[in-house]
Amino acid sequence: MKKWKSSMALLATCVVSATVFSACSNSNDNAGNEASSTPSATPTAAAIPDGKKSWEVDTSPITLDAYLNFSWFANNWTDSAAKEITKETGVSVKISKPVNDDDQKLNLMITSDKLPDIIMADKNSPAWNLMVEKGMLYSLDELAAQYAPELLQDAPKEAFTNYVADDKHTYMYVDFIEGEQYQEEVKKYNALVGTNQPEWSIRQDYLEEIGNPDISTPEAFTAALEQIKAKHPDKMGYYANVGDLVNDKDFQLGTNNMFGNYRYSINGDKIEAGFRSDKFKQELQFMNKLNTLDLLTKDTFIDTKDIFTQKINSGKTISYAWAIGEGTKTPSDNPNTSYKVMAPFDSYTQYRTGGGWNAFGIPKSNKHPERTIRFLAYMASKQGHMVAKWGVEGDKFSGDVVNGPHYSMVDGKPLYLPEYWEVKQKDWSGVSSKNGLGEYWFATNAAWWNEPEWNNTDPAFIEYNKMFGDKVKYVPELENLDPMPNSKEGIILKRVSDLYSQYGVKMIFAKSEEESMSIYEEFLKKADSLGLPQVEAYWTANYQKNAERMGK
Amino acid sequence: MNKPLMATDRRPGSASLRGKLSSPQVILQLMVLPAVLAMVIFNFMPMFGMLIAFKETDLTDGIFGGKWVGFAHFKEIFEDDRFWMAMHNTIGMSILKLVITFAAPILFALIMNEIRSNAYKKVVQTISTLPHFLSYVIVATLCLIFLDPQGIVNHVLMSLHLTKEPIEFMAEAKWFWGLGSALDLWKETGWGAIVFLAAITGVNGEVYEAARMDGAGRLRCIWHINLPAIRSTIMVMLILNIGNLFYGGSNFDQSYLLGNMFNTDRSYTLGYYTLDNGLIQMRYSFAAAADLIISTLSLTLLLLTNWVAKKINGSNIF
Repeated sequence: MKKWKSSMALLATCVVSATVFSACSNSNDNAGNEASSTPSATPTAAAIPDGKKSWEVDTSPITLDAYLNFSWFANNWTDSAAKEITKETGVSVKISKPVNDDDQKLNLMITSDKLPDIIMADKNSPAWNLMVEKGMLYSLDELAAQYAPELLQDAPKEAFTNYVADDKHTYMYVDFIEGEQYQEEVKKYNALVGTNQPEWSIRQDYLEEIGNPDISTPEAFTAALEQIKAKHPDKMGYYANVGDLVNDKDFQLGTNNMFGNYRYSINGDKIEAGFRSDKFKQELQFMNKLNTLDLLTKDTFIDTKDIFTQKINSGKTISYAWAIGEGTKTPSDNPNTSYKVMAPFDSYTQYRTGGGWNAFGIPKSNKHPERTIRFLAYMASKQGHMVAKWGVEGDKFSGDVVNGPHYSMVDGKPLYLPEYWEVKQKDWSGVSSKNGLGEYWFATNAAWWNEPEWNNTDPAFIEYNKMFGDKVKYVPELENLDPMPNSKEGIILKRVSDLYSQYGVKMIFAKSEEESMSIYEEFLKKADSLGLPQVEAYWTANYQKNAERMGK
Repeated sequence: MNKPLMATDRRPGSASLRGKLSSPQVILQLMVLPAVLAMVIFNFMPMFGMLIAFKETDLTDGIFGGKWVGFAHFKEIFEDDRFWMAMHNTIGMSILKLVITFAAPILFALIMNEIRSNAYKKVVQTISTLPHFLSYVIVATLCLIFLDPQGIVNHVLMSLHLTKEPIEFMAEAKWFWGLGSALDLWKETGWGAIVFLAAITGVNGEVYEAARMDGAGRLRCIWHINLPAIRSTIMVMLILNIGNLFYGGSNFDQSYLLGNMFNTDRSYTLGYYTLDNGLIQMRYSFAAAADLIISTLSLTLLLLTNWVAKKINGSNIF
């Protein structure tokens, strides 16, 4: 009896040990399987029957895991646009995203070699270089030639020429490229300036209260704010859209292009840090002035995006910096008025490189590269744009944002129905969460994507284009100048950025202009001693390389 | 008096090895095997990864790749002002937290034990334990909303005329340590009390009866029965807490979620330093070096506290 008991105990022990460690061995097995199964997926191209698009060949249901390196991404493939995409391609996308926008999760995924079926991240993220170097990605040009030839035709021409790796292959599909095709179209439709143009807004009722004075210069604006603040002491004067200076890559101190400062300041054929320029000094003096006049509060540099939005919605600020699409909100404490987009100061300049924004990559661990590249081709096609962005065609908006109709064809160009567009502009994110239109920008061709928004009869946007149009500059050679974060220059740059975020608020909230300027000088001196000139030399070298490649 | 708290009883006079092996003890000891193996695999083997602290490695090189750089990373860390700032904040914040939050669960447990109504006791205990299960992300967001210059806390303070101007809790560095401790106090007191309550519950009821017969009141009972009953638990918790000073429980969460440019001088902690300069910059060797420094300090502190505790009153954990 005793023997039986002890042997049972021994058995139990073995079972427990086995269960505990089976976890490790299982995952190893899986990894092995994945590795062995992937190569077999590549070789033969499935024949595409005539007249059929590549994504129509196989529309059996399939779920692809996609990682989007953007914590703020709101939709999760449950809205009507997503359902329509699934209907046409069979593909459902399971979206995961990080908690914070600092590449931490992405880096860990790369290190542990656990990539999902689709990776999407800012095209300038150092992660792309790493993944290419490690051979973790499929080359999209080869994959497309084999399975989805449409992609090569539908893509803007820059997509497969400007982003080639050293081996002459393209590993990431960059969207929102503002290349030749786009710049041509955009001018035709008077649509250079869109809803995402950075701007400042001011409360109309308050402005009228003091007799609609001129606010077209920093001085006049400050004076107007002072007058309003005297009447409404409980309101904030100016609310910068910055979150915190840690992410203020263009060194604008929350001034949203109004003073035209940019990350890089071109000095002859050299590149210097933007905060060395006079423009930076002007914006600093302006912000410091706001502070000394009690028109700026510290929470503007502390609040999270949610709190920022909520404070503006409730009308707690006299003016704020955001984008045109969010620039005409109605404050909840006075439904009869709204904020209005301010005319830019003379100094307003927005530099654009036109190099696109988000990139789409297919890791080699993807078990269905064929379906994935076809999904990409679909998203990059005009048909894909119709479903993901344009919506349903029709003549009259029914009031139903989900079933539409959303747009009509005017002179061969899609145009959102004005009634729908109005609803959408009033509640951008609310409408997006219902119909998903405009949210799945996975492979956008900037021209097609934006077409239905281009309305050269919309007086507001004609006006906005007049206001901001000649203040937009395309400088493609400023694209991607930054060093890798773990390189010598990258480490210096990190130190300088830390220093900037620490000193930035000290300069702004200094008690006087002299004090502010002396803190600024101290900051420059420290930045130099950290080795900033080395970073600037690195920028300059890259800039000259870019310029050469682009024949400038 | 020098008996370690967690040691098992040893039988006097040891039997022969053969006798030991054939005894049922062997089977029982074998049951620990899975746990021991798990610890070897998941806790001890990864320690070899510390090697990269002395190397310059890339993501692609792995632990054994890369070239040796000796103490270069350590040198860089010790020369970095931000490291010392982080060190200063970590120690300061941890000590403050230790002082403020260590006694609270003990007091709370003693008070809870005096509650007569069982139903009421359960309600209180549930409510006080709940905050522990809230993620710090949520706590931090609530904190930002409540402590906003136009938020509820300032509203109350101003209505009560305790302050004229709204207090900028998040914008003034001086508030940060206190704020961190207060959040911890709110979040962990109920949870921390569980251990002590359990120890008090273990006291035999006859002891109380005897004490009351001798004329002891409530306070006397607490002082002479309850406190001594949980004394060893208190010591163990204290030693563990001090050993954890550098990693400091919630320090990282608070630093990461509530830190901003105005309070960096007080909110930047070692955990954040490792993340900020190591992982985010993809400098894994550097991060390993920074963490090795923290671990070494922690271990030293733990051993030291244990030794001191043993010297003073014989309560030690190993």
